[in-house]
This record gives sequence, C-alpha cells and structure tokens, in this order.
Amino acid sequence: MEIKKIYTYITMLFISLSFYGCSDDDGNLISTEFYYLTEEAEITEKNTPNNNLNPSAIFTANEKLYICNSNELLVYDALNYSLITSVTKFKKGTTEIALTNLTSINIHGGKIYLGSNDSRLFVLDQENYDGITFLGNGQWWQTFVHVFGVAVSDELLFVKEKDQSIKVFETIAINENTPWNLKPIALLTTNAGGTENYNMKIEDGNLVVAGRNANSYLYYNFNSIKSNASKSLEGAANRIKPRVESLKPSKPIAVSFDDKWAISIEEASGTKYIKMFPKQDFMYMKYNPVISNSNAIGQPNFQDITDISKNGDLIYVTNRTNKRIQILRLKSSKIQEK
Amino acid sequence: MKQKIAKKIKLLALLLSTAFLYSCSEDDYSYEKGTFIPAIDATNLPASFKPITMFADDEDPKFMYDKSDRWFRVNQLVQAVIKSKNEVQISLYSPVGLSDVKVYAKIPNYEKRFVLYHFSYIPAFHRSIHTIPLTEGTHDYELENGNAVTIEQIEGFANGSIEFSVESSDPLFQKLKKIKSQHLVQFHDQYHINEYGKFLPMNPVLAKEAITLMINFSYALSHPLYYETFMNFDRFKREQAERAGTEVIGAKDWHGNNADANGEYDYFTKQQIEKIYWDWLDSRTVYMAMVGGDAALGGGPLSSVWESTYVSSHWHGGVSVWSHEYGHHIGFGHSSNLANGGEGGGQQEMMAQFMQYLIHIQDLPFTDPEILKTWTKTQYLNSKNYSKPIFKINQNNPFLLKYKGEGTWK
Repeated sequence: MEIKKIYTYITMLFISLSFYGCSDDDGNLISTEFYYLTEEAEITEKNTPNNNLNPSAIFTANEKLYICNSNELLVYDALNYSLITSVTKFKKGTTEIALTNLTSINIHGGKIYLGSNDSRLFVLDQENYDGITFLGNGQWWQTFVHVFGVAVSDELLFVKEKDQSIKVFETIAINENTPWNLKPIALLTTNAGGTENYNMKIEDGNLVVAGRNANSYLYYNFNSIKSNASKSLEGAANRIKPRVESLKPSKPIAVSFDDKWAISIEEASGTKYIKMFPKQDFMYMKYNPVISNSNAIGQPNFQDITDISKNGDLIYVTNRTNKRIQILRLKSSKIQEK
Repeated sequence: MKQKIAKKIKLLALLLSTAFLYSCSEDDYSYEKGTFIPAIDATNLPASFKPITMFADDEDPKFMYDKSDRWFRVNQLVQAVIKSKNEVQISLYSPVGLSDVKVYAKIPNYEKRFVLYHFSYIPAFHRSIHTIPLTEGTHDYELENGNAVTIEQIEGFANGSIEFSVESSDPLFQKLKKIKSQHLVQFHDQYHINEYGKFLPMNPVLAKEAITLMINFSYALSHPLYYETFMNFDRFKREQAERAGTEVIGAKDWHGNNADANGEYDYFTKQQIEKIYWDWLDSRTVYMAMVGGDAALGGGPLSSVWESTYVSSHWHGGVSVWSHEYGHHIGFGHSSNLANGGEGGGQQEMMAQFMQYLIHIQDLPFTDPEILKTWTKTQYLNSKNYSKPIFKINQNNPFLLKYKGEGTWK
C-alpha cells in the first residue's frame, strides 16, 4: 500500500510538472489589434452654401455633423455628407443676432451651444435651430472676454474665455428665461493660456480640457468643482486647479470621446498628430496611444487641424490649411501570436 | 505483487519520459513557428527594388549634398525609413557590408518587435526600396524568441507609425551597435559655395572616407576606456607627468572657455564633466566639410578638416585637428582644453593617442584602408601624392604604456 501511495503521488507530481513545462508560452499568447486611419471622404468649399469653408470646431450628434464655419453653423448628414442647413442668425421672437466668429460648439439635452469670439455664448434648439437664449451681450468687459470653448452636461456648463479662465454655470439655469448676464457658480483656471481656442469635453464626471498652453490634458472633477465652487469666486488664487500630467513638448489641441476611445489632436515641434487612447487609461492619465499619426495613410501631413469628432468608425477633422473637413475611417487588423 | 509494482514503475518511467518530451522538446515548438518571409540578398536586387550604391565613386556630388536624402545617425547605420504608405527604404551607411541583418518592426498597440526584413547580406553603402509585407497580405512574422505572430493585412502606414530596429550576428555590426553617439551626419555645400578656397568641394570618394572617420571617431568616443579616461583627465595628466618626470604642465583637469589668467583655470566639476561627455554623443547635427586653406574650422554644426585627413591621416589615428574642430562644434573655444591642445595637451591630443591605441589593438570598426583604397583614386583627389596609409604605434603612447594591449571593448 505504501509503495502504491508513493507511486500515485510521484505520478501526480510529474503529470503536473509536465503541464507546467511550457504553460508560459501557451498561456500568454497575445491577441490584439493594430489601428490605422484611411481617408474616406472630404467636405470642401464646394459643399457649402457660399463656397467658403474655414472650419474651427466640429461636433457630431444624432448622425449629424455640426461645423462652426466663421459666421455660420453648417449642419451635414454625418454619413452621406450632404448639407442639411446653414444657420447664420440667433432668432428668438423679434430678436435677431448674427452668429459671428464662431469658435466652439457642444450639443447636449436638445440644445446647441455655440461660442463666439465676440464675447457671446448662443444656445439654440437642436431640432429647429430657434434661439433659446444667449449669455453675454457682446461686450468683452461684461460676461465673457471672448468665448474660446464650451462643454456641457446634465449638471454643469463650462465656458472658456480669454487667458486662463473657465466659467462654470448650472445647466438647469439655461432656458428661454435665462438673463444674458447670468453669474457663474464657480471659476476654474487652466494654469496657462492666452487667446487660443480651447477644446473641452465632459467624460465620467470630469471636465477634460485640451490644455495646449499647459502641455497637458486638464482634468476637473465635478465633485471637487461643487465643493469648492463658492470659494473659487473669491479671487484668482482660489480658482479651481486641474489635475495635470505634463506631455512636453506635446500640446493637446482637441479631445473627444466615444464609448471606448479618447481621440485627440496634439502638436509637437510644429507637427500635428491624431492620437487615439483607450478611454479608461486616458481618464487615469495613462497615455499609451494605439494611434499616433501625423497623416492618414498615403496622405500629406495634417497641418492646421483644429478639432476632431468621432461617430462610429468615422472621424471628422477640421482642416483649415486645405479648407476642408477630412473624413477618416478607423480600421484595424488582427495581430495573433502562434 | 512485486511484478505488479515493477510493471507500474515501468509505466511511470514511460509516462515521465513522454511528459518531458511533450513539455519541452524542440519538436514541440516547430508547429508553432510560422512560414516566414524569405531572406533577401541585397547584392543583386532586381530593378523594381531601385537598388543603388550611395557614394559610388562617380556619383554626382549633388546627391551627397542633398541633406533631405543623405543623412544618418551614427548609432543607426542600417537605416530604415517609411518612403510611402507601403514602402520602406533601407540604406547602409558603412564602407563594409553586413551579413545576416534583421530589420525589426514595432507597431503601436503590440509590445513585441517582429522581423520585417531579413537580409542575408547588405553591401557597403547599399540602398533599396522594399514593399512593406504587411501591406501585401496576411503573413507570419518571426518574434525575437523565434515564435511566430500572424498579422492581418494592413492597407498602409502613416509617417512614423513603424519603429524600426536592427540586429545582426555580423561581428562588424556587434561593434557598430556599441556606438552611443546619436549625432546626425550630413554634408553641406554652402561652405565651399560661399567661401571657395577656404573650403573645397568634396565628392563621394572623400565622403566615404569622412563617414568612415566619423564612425570610428564615434566608436572611440563611446568606448568605456575613453569614458574612464575622460572622466579622470586629472589622473591622465598626472600619470603623463610622472612618466616624464615633470610637474603637470598647464591645466590639471578639464576647464571651460574663460580666459586663462596667470595659471588660473575655470575647472569643471565632475558632474559638469559627465554632462560634457554626453554632449559629445548627443543628437545634434554635424555638417562634415573640407578645408583648403591654412586653417581647419569648426563651430555650430560645422566640423571640417583637410583632404589629407580624410584620405590618409585618420587611418593612423591622425585625428587631433578633427577632434579640435569637433570640440568647437560641441561648444568649446580656444581657451578650453576641450578644443585646444596647448598648455600641455587636451582633448585633441588625448583623442589622437586613444585612436592610435584602438588601431593598435584592432578595436575600431574600420582599421584597414584597403576597404576604400582612396589613395589610389587620384582622379578624385586634389593632391596626387598619397600613398597607402601605414600605421605604426608610438611606443610612448600613454594608453599603450598604461594598458599594454589590454582594454578591448568586450
């Protein structure tokens, strides 16, 4: 019996060993994807009502493409790129204000938010483009010194103005009765900045800003904003600061999210890059891009691209050098170890 | 019962041997290996690969002066660059060819590098254009551990989206791989165009010599024995004085650009010396040029010497002037012993002695002038009086006296 037992133990031991012998190789075979961008189509001046395209900002929502084009908002079908409409005025009752020098756009809760370099934020109805309200009366010494960026969620509305200032409002306060001189509930600082357009998005309870002058993406947590809101109004030193991780020499220019990815524009040494990061890593400030390209394959370098938006596998980029919207397709190829 | 136990022990032995065979035999891996793209001999490639020999003797010099086309980093002499969405240009900036060269690719979102091209041989100064196999179809690629990875067809590549690296079993490559300098080397024609006579035009025959000098010089700068001596220049000076039975002449250690007044020198700290050492190996651009007047010149990106240095002197370690001009290029003036040999010797003297010692112990990438035979190519040279460079070590060489033939970079 004793010998039998020993035999059984030894057998079991060696069978286990034989399985362990090569399990590292067998168990860790990597399967992943390589991602790349091809050029799919473009929207050029020819596709605009006035044969003029100098796009500064872009946003996709409900399969539509919204483009800030100097003094108009252009709306296209996001899949067949046909023009739906051009909006040149804020109209509400008898009030008509020309949409001039548009810098930024965000759409949320059925409302289109448009930032103007002429110190105003316009709010339009997403369905019929009727005016709902506007903040700022166009005088830079009033509500905003220019408007260089806008982001909005159910709770909060953020407006970037000159220098390092982001003003925070409650979204619930934005309706047809909102006064033009609505006061902010909190103030944020971007740490650095001047008179550049600033791209901002909201993701997972954070305002995320492409903070070009700080060489960083800037993260402001909503809870932190709320708990420090009133104090942040008590002088510049008390403004709420972002969490940052320096990416020098890279300068983030624009950022956008979908359910899986963070996609961005960065500039380094005069070259513009489109980057794509796993969203979860990006939100933890871990920047390992799966795409970091200065051109779409076979195409010239991107040059002056200012904003980016993703809708499914299509990525829309405002290209001011070529005066066009570059429409790229995200593709992937499998990588499988044997 | 005993028979039963014996049978069981036999069965156990069989089981064990089978288990070991299955777990770790070579055969086990064979089915995992893929069908890899075959090796390429770049010696006689079809015209579709657009093969050329860069710096061929009779090549129009306009090509060597085209800085967008002819450039290399000293630590990347096998150069791979994306030329179009589906093509890679392979260039070898070496006067001697290389065998068994594997060009690895690393692409985003996959941490391992894989063999993109395997060259059984690349001739000296070869260049050719190769389709990226990834764009042609789904293939297996060899990983560093010999296993395979299958990568589906990719339509093309954007600029910079492949990170290339190179490995080779060739003993010459093993030497080249040790070079730490990242200097970007180019030839610049504006010097002789703007100041003809002070500078003279070069040609591919001279460019090949200049590249050979630059590779050897960069290897010497990277050499651990040189680092050790550079970091302890005060000791080098002391030992030199002891052997001569004198006091240390001039500065006792490295010092900077401030004027030397009454034997007072602006000595560097050890930390500063360490930084200066790495400055010599950093990624700045050097424009190699040739002078025709009394003075060689250096400063900013420029470092220049005479035709005789390129054709002949460097083969016997005559790099004193080159090292002096290179010192200017790094940022040192005549008041510093990092550019000037006065005041009892400095960098230029020490480097020349060190190069001579490396030639003596055959520890440079290139020590045989026969690989280029430039002294015979008189139709391309201004002086017709060169003969084959013959090297002989000076028995008073301080490195020979100290290391006595030892110190080869293992």
